[in-house]
Amino acid sequence: MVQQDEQYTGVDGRLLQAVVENMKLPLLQVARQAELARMSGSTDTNFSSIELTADTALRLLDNYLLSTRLASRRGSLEFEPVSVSAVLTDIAHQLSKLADQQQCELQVNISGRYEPVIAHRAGLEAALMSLGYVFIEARSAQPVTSGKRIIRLGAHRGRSGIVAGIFTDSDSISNDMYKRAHSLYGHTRQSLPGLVAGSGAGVFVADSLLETMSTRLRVAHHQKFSGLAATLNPSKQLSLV
Amino acid sequence: MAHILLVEPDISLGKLYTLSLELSGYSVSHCRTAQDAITSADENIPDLVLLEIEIAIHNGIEFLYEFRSYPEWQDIPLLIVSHVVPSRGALNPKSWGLLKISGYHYKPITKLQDLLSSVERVLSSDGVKAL
Amino acid sequence: MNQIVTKGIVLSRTEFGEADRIITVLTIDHGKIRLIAKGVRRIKSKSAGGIELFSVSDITYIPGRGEIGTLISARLINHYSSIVHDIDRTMYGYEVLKNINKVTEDLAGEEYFNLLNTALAAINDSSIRLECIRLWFGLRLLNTTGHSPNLHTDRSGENLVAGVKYDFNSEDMTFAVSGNYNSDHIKLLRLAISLNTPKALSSVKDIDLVLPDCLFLVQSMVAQHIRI
Repeated sequence: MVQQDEQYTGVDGRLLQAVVENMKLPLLQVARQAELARMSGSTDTNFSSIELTADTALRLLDNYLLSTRLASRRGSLEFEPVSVSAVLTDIAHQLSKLADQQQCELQVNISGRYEPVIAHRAGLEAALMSLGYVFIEARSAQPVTSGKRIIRLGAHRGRSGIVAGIFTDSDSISNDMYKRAHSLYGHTRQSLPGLVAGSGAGVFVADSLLETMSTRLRVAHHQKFSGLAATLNPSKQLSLV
Repeated sequence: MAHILLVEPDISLGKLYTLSLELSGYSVSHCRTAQDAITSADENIPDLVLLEIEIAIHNGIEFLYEFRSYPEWQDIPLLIVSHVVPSRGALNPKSWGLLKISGYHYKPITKLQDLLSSVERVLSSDGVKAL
Repeated sequence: MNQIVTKGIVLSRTEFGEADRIITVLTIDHGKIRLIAKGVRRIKSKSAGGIELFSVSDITYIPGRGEIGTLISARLINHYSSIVHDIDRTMYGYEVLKNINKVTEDLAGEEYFNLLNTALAAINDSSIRLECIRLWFGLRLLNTTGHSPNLHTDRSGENLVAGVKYDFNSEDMTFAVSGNYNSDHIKLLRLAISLNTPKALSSVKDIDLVLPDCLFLVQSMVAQHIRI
């Protein structure tokens, strides 16, 4: 049956969506004003920073709205074969400016060649993007390790599918912390206090998006890095040659 | 100098887009409603239209159909620059060709630079350039 | 002068000369006609009552010697003004006008007027889901143009039965055994094609289980058989 999640279709859910939609405009104004100042030759580096922050916030709002749209259509979403490595590479490219600004090094690490996974492409991209924002914000506030702060977008084969996610070179998140975060979010200002100063909303937006694809985020490890990842089902029809 | 008709209901965004286009050498008429845009096009035929779909009173779809109903305006290139997600029913990409839409920019992810590049591309393929 | 009074729905408007418009009107009893509306200045065209899109009007006109008559007066009876409050509905409204314009010839009968009027009324009603209207309109259009799908027997002439899954052939518009469409799909199609208005479809229980597939199917039928 197509599930109509109450949280999105009830009065409160609809009100929140309307408010979020409204919030995009002022952020857009800020981002484009900052961009114009930068394009006009302003040497104030703050404008670049404001532009980036406002654009990042816009994307987060947009990804949240996407998660509500996908949740309301669950059961009739258009899934397609998606190359995980292509998505991770694309996301890394989009996150690179933010990572640079936050003095983090971004890496893409795909251990092996994998068949495409069955997913909603836009939803998967939005999920990894949202997760990336949180991890960059989190890692940038943590001490350097061997002179670096590394964010790794990684994928490897797990027991039940392809595991893809965002990992860091610090012990950022534990199973207990993540479990507690789910019961805390919406009730406290800091759901992931051990990870990030803010609400960490990007994690929950990512989780909502992945849930529409019948998967969830969980704490995972990728070559001694720890982070959050989702297991995705490989496509049985296609395989990379 | 190429003349652009900008149909954008928000004052601040309108000023931003206008300024960035003018800095790039275009002249711009900024209208906030569909009727004003029709009037403006009547007074000063544009070389390109930039159109937001979410407008009050008469929405951008109405403007689009009205605009294209005038023979002398049928071939004027038009770019959508909108809050509306393009795949969501309204103006899905299959309709673009029929309504002669040259491109669709989703505002939350469209930088000024992207827009300017798109404007330049459309106008130069149409034979009109900024000074 | 030979004046004709009729009821009509404007299908399209186009500019003509400095101050005139040519409007294409689907009438209830005189088929599809084209009229010159003289002196309707461009700037005020949107407020010229009676020749607004998405409206039903009492039209008085004089037939021309050629294809185009002259509009004498137009009095608005019903303006489906809520359509333009929603972008998706506006878009679909224009699509419906365009589709009807393409399938109707000059001698179009009253059934096309009624189909269009009902469709616009439904689009104007926000309580009726747009996907339901799309399904209903597609099937009714097929029916009106003589391209109804066979929803009762399969290709070999056997009655369609529950518990069997069928495939659909858009060319001969029949179901054949072994496919993805089950009795729920077929029941929805039968219901939709039989209704005079799509309103009842919005309250069909669990319609979302089969609506997307049915809509896709009807859209392929329309694409195959109606040149729009």
